Amino acid sequence: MKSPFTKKKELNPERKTTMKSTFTEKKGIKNMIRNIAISSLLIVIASLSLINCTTEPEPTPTFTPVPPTSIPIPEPTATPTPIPPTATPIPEPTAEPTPDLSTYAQIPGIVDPTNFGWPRQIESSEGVVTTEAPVKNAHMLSLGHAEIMLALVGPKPLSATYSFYSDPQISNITDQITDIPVIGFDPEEVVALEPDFAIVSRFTDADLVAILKEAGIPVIRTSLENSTEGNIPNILLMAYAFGAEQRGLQLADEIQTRLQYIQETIQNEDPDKPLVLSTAFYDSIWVAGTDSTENGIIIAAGGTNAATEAGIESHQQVSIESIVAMNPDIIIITQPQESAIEYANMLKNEPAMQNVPAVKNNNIFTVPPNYFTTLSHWNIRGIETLAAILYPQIFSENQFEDFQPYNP
Amino acid sequence: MRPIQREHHSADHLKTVSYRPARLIAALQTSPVILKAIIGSIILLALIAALTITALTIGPLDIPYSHTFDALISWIGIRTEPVTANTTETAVIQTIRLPRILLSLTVGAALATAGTIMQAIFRNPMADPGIIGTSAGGALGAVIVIALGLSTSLFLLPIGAFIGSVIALTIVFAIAATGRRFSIATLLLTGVAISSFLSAAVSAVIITTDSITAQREMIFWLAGGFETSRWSQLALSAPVAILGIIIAILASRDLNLLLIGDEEAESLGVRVKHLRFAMITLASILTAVSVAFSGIIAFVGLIVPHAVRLTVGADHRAVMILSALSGGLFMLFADTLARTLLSPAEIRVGVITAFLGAPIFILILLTNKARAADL
Repeated sequence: MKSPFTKKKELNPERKTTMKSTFTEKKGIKNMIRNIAISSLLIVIASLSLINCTTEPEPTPTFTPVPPTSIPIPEPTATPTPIPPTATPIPEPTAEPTPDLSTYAQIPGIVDPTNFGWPRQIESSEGVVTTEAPVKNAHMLSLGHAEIMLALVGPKPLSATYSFYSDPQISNITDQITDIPVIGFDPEEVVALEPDFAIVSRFTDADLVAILKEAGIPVIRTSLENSTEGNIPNILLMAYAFGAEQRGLQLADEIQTRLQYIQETIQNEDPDKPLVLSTAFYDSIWVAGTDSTENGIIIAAGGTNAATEAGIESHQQVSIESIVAMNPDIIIITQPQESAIEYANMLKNEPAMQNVPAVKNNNIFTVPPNYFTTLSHWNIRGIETLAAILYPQIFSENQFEDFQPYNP
Repeated sequence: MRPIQREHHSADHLKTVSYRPARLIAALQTSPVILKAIIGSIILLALIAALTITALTIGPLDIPYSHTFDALISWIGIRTEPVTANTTETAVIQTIRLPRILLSLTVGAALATAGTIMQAIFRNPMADPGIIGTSAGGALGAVIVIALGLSTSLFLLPIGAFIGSVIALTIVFAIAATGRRFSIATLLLTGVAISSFLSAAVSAVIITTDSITAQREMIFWLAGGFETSRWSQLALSAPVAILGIIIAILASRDLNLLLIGDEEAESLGVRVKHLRFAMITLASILTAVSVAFSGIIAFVGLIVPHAVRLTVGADHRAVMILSALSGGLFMLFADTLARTLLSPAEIRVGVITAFLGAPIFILILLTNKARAADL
């Protein structure tokens, strides 16, 4: 857009031309006086016009093409509207707080951490995936990813679920996915959904991933971690993929705040941390050692993992005798309630277990498996639940709450 | 299958008996069959006793030898109460290690006996205890119990597995008996078909079960193991297994006659049809009992009878009892490794039997090439 001064310059030559033609006509004194009068009048008018132009320019059409700009320019108004005086002072206009998105620069997988517009690119072990616009149809091949996705953007973009997503003993999102169709494990069913992309975990079968990619479905593989804090980069990467950067930061902040509260509260407790065993019974006895979700929860809740101390890696089968040898102070059973009670009774009635502190002091607890076995931010609830078991003297007054469903 | 080996009634063979294993085996191969059975049984019983003692003394909980023997003597009844072993050590020996050791011996013996019977009846060296669908039927019964959420009781699962095995056996017999003639080939083919069908049904139940925890339980059960052995399980399985093994040993002579042909056996007074029916039923019951309390453990019923035959010949009067003892010994050895190799973690015993069974069998095969050609 031209400035008012430019417009003025365009006007002046016309005016000069008009004046020149007027002065060249010399037809007597009358004419001369008339011309002088007219000229004076014109000068006055021109001066007045000049003065008016500097205070309130008139919009005039221009023939110069205006380059596009991302900053919208307000339309000029012909007459200013006076603001009526009011009794209450008008608050100073404050800018919307801009979220600090610099955290995303540290998230592996974001190709251009300065780009928060569309399209955007995400790189994983399955290659670079480009999303042109906010995702409306995404497929999650692991429950942990589905739980994170629902916390970030709600269930709407979720293309389908699997039957176990609706199992309240495992899943934390059963109430939110009642309207989402359930599919089987045939890859063809996923292909038929035509998702914008699929997110898979490090546990997803490589052949399944290959089939999806061959069918033209972009695949992002993120490494779901066993520790809640370790999952924050995954949460932020997913937030970026879905265009929910601010919500991602909020969720990450909530996770860290909750963790910090537990850790600060128990830091002055007895340095001899209770020996905790996380176990389940599926035809044989299973315990959780290093590199398991339960291990991360036990440590974060202020305990020592008895199975880890005994050299168990990940989830392993053991015998009753192994539990006797581990000698735990606390036993938590992470399986559905009915069978958990049965298993707890089995442990309590086992003659060899009678001198184990957990049995002797009646410290066998059945805990909600959906907090302990998932791989998502819901593990925080497992940490809070276990902390309340390990340190009842501290947390007896606390009412830890579940994560609230996504509410835009 | 090799015809019955001619017996050598010379006492000279005893002179060849030596403590060196190779000579001992050579002596067994050429000794009279009863002598083979006796000598072999003594050796195997000694090995079982030694391994039982060893297995009793090792485990995740470090228990001194003296305490182990103290608890064992107390259990046998020589002493009323242990002197040195504390209550935890006594409980571990008496309520965890002992029933597990005895159950693995029982299951191993039952499976090997069932395998010996099946190979004799079908005259097929590839026949194993589950060949006519008993194992698959047991598996289906077990996974249905788990799918229905009834596996929380320790006994419903084995009962379901046993019922599944018996139903599978009944179906196979009913189909094979349809028509004018009951042939062993029809029975075998029907068994293979039903076994495949039941295995597919097991997979279908696993896939269609909504609960992922139930799916896990099914898969783990199918892998087989003795981690949760109880005296009560032994009380149910051992009498059936011991009785079945005794009947099989008593039928050894008739099984020998069956090997030389149906007509010859009939002419020598064997009621072939009755014998076949009874023996297949017996083998299936032995398999069902094993599957019910330990899950499916492959290889033992197939390999152990062959290994015994390669060592002592094909006479069932020796093979049957030695297979039972060898099966028990092999299973106990495999289970001891399963619970101690990665202690305190456990390995499924089926993995160990497969890993151990194949090389041991190949070793025996290579050292007895000439005999293997006849079997």
